[in-house]
Amino acid sequence: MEKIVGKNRFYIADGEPINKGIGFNFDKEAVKRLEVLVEENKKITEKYKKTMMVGV
Amino acid sequence: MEYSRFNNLDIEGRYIFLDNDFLSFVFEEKDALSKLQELSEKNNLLMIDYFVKFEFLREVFIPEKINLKENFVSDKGFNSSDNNFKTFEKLQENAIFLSKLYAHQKQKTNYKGSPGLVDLFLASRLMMHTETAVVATGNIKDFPATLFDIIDVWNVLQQDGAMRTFGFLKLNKEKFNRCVSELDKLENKK
Repeated sequence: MEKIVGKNRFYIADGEPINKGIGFNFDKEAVKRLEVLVEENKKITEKYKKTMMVGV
Repeated sequence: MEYSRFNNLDIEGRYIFLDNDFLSFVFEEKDALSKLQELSEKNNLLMIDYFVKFEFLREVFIPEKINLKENFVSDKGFNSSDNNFKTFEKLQENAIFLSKLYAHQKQKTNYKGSPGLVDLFLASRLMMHTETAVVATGNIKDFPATLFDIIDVWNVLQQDGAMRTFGFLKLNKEKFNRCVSELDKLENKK
């Protein structure tokens, strides 16, 4: 993985296959959980936009 | 929202590192979440680098929004990249080296981009997984074509009529080796 070319050292790897066993899937449940947060974010953005417009 | 694809190449079996602008877009547009699910179904892992997480959370001052953003970025649908100190040291060396390659190539080409710290660290991640990692970004110019290939582009027509473009880029090892060799020749000139 380590390579030295002239005065330079860097780390480069070939394409080892992805190991899905170590990661989490972005499944339907994730979509459901995050949709709630996105909707909530929209509401908060609107609420603060109005508050700032009236200078409170 | 309407999505159109440029290359229509399936991105399969990849680590997809999400840049902050891509992640922020997903946080604003819930339709994009099902597009991420489609990517996950094709054996891809959605990855969030530590610096991207930092960028996503910084400068937020509304208390409710801070909590929302923290919950969003920490969701288990996203995978945090390896952040141990040994990996960080390697990423740092790669980032400095890449910045030299970019600067050298800038002198030789019409490349106008000026990638920031986070972009350099994301590019360093791509070096660590050359064939299996891609970055999803709206700032395509921060990943110069002298080293990176665009493997797919998403054009998104938003409900407000605005058009957004996101690229999926990977490091091209042949281009990389050519740039390294050109820099090496320059450094060995007397």
